[in-house]
Amino acid sequence: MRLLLLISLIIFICSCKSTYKTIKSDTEKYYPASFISESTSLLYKTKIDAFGNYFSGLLFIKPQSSDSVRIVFMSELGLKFFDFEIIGNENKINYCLEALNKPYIVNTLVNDFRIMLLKVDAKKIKSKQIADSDISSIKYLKPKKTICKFQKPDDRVIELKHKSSFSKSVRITYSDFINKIPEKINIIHRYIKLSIELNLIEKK
Amino acid sequence: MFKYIFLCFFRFSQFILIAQDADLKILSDTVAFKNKLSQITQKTQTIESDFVQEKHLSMLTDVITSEGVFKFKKENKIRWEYQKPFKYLVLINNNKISIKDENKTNTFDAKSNKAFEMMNTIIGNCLKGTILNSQADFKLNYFENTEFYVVKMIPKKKEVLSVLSEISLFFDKSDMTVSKIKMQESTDDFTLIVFKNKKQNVNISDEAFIIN
Repeated sequence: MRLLLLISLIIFICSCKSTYKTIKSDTEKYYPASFISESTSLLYKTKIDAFGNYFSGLLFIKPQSSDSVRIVFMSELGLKFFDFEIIGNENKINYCLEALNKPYIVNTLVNDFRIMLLKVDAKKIKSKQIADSDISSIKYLKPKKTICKFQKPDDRVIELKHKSSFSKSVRITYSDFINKIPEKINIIHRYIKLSIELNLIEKK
Repeated sequence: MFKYIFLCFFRFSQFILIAQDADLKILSDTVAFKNKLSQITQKTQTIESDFVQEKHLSMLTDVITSEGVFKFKKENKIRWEYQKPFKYLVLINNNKISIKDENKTNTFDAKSNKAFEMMNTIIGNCLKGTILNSQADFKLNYFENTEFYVVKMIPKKKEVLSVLSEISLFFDKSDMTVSKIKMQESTDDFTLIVFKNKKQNVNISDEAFIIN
């Protein structure tokens, strides 16, 4: 009986083994490359459902240099909701509407946009090819608990999952690409009431 | 090098904006202006106009522009229809606000949303000619240049002041209609709405203020 249990346990453990393969050396092609360049600014029609507050408006994304980007969200009528800046590893809050201006909400939002824009210092550790598809999945050592799905032929990012803490687990999907820029982006949190939906309306 | 070019351009843009205000002089005869506005607006039953909305962000050369059609019908019916680069419809019918965004419609009481209530009150009062009776909520300063009478409104309420530091209304001297509204935020950012191709007292059906 004990032997049977032991064999069952070994079979169970073996069956749970990750299908990811460690890649020792490779090109950096699986480091997620941001879809914005210094010369591109993007305007998305955006809906944010944040902790019981609903906001609809325009999200303007403007890179200012190779390592900084400005993110401004305003209502359709022009009133500004927030104005964030990502500069290297620093986040700068230029303005935030009182209803959203709480450290937890602001930090979550700005970090979501940092991850969404793939402004992360990623280091690859493991990859796997999803069977019968052109999608490969990469697990990163840094940032921790991050999985990115790339689609061939140009290895564009189509999904990114990131878990930063016990309560923060976010899934970002990118779709309807035009010249490598996603027309649709969805950000959905698993444990907190926060979702963001972006639809591209203008590229400059 | 690019940084200096950008800074020069930014300063030049600021200079142009300051210059636009620089030709304004204080309006001495405010009574005559109020009477003229009152006379004209009493005769105005409807206004239909195209509009261009520009969002100017400080330290960015980009201007975010949207366009659409504006309609007003006495006493308190307003239609803002954004057509480019996105579709968005706002209807104000007395104290009810309806928004159509893509295929979703949302109707709520104007007083439940302070930003909309303020916009509703300001625009409605401009068109009805009663904007100059807003001393309880705004400090009003009067200016003019060759083209416009300009009323600069500084909010008195803290919750409004935290969002907007000043609202400037530009009344066209030729027909006393509002040609521009500039909403200055507490930061250096501002929104400018310019009304074009204005038509007064054209027939506008009540159905234009109901969402289908």
